[in-house]
Amino acid sequence: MKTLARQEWYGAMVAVLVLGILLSFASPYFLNTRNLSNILVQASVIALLAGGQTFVILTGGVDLAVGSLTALSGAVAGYMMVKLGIDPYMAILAAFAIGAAVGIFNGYLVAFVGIPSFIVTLGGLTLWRGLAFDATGGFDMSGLPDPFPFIGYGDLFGFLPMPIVIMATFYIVMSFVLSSTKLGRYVYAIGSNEMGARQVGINIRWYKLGVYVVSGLCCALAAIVLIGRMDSSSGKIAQMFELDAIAAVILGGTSLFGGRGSIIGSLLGAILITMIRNGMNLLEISQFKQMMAIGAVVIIAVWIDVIRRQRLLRK
Amino acid sequence: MNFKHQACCVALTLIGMIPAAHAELTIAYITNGNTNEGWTLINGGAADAGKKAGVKFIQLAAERGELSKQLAIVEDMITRHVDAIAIAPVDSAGIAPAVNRALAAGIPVVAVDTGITGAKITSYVATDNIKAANVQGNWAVDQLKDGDKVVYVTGDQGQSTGQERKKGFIDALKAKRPNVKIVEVSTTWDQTQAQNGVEAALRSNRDIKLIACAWDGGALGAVAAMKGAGIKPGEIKLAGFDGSPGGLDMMKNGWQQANAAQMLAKIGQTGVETAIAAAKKQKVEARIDTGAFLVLPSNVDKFAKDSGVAQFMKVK
Repeated sequence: MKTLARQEWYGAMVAVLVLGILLSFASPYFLNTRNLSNILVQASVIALLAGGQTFVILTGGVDLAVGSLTALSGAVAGYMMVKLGIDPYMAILAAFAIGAAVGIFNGYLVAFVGIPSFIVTLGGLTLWRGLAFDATGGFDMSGLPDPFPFIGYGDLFGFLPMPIVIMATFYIVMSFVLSSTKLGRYVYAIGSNEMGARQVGINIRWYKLGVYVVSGLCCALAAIVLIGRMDSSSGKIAQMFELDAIAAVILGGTSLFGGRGSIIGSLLGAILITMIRNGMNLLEISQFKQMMAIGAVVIIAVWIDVIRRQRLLRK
Repeated sequence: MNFKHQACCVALTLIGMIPAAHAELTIAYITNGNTNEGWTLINGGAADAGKKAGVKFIQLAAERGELSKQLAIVEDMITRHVDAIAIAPVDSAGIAPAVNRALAAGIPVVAVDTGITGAKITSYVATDNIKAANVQGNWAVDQLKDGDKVVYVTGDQGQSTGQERKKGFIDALKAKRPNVKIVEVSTTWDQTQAQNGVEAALRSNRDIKLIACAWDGGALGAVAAMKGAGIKPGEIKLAGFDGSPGGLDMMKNGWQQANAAQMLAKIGQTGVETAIAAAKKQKVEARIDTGAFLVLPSNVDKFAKDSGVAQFMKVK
């Protein structure tokens, strides 16, 4: 068992706490239950995407298409419900089917054909966005049927916002998958030493394909929460969410080079990004400065990752 | 360098930006994140109104025009206990859940330029597109004889703005010139679509007298099409809509003969003034029309100067 300070997510936790304390002094509106629950609700979609992204990055890959895939799943689900009048649970199923299918497509090209994940998902970034607009005719679909309003802004037992419930459940399941299943353990093995993993007889192709399917399913789940929160859907939702999702994973201490990291760090990373935005909104700082702040924080986090890796290599 | 330092850096920056002491009322103006010239004018009008009224004026924008970011800002402004919100929605329907929460928290919400569907907002301040397009249509009436042929370049017909501008123009024109033939070029606010459509219309119709457009970008496309067809400025009359810098430039160059201009700065200004009035618990109108102005070559210079559009124009 690693000591607390040796955990990959330690830095993210310290950053969340320090930023939280500073914002409490900086704004009288920051530290109250309502705002804190707001931050968690606002972090939920990015946190769900970051969860899947963690699997991909742990294997040494990256999924740049998560924003577009979220839009595709969400737009198609919205279209089915609002324009075609299809049962919402069927639409949810369809969203997951799309997520899984695109995951299989990405995973096949990366693991079996051998195209770098960066290229496959960069193409996917515009491919799935285009399909999202095309499949739905570019329409905005608003007024989603039950259970979407409840998923988006309902409270479980009257006080627990549903996006938080979904995010928490998701992270408990994902932590379990990563720590206690074959997929989880092999993900680390493949990321830290792909050749070695192959030599000990791990069928790395199938497990690599698996992580893209996980990421695709996470996009579908994120889409369901997102369109619920907006009570509407269209092909233009979730623009550039991949950047926030990747940033959350990196801020959470997961190495871009694969093999090292944790799922809990990604949750903390998503919360950290959301806290920065929330704090800057409360302090009335313009969106341009917000974009600069988040970009700078991400560069610093990658910088730290590189230094960490160099130290590890020297040892 | 570690996370602690990084967090401290961010925090110190934040502390440096703590706002000054409280004014009586706090008004949040939340824009859609557009940074084009039209929105610069609208936002400038809003900021002026906030400054003049002596209220605490907060201006925030949806990063990259992303709806979920705007939702989060509205939620944060509810947390911030602002006294009123003026908002230019990224999406008319998508912003409704957050707006409803603000209204439920007792915060009046004024929609600026773009309406909100699915929420009983306090007021909606914008150009009345039908009336403004009537102005454009009535100008066309004076230019045409009954039976002439006209091209109309539409905006997105899946959207109220596009539908209203088309209806306003055609209704006004048909009322006085019932036998005018209208060749329609459909676009989704896309300049290239406008150019391609007008090119096709010019090829298949030799006797077009006038082209009217639902927005100035469409007029830019129409000018490109006319240039391509070897038509000289003014040979076919062109009516724009918006009063944008590009539109007025076309007028100065002789390509455009009329423009139904929106009062952009006034939209922002009236939006914020209405929000302030609502915050003071005064009664406000549910729909406020900021009007349109028919810009002609004779008054283009004065309009450009008075409206602030001149600063963005290329042709002085």
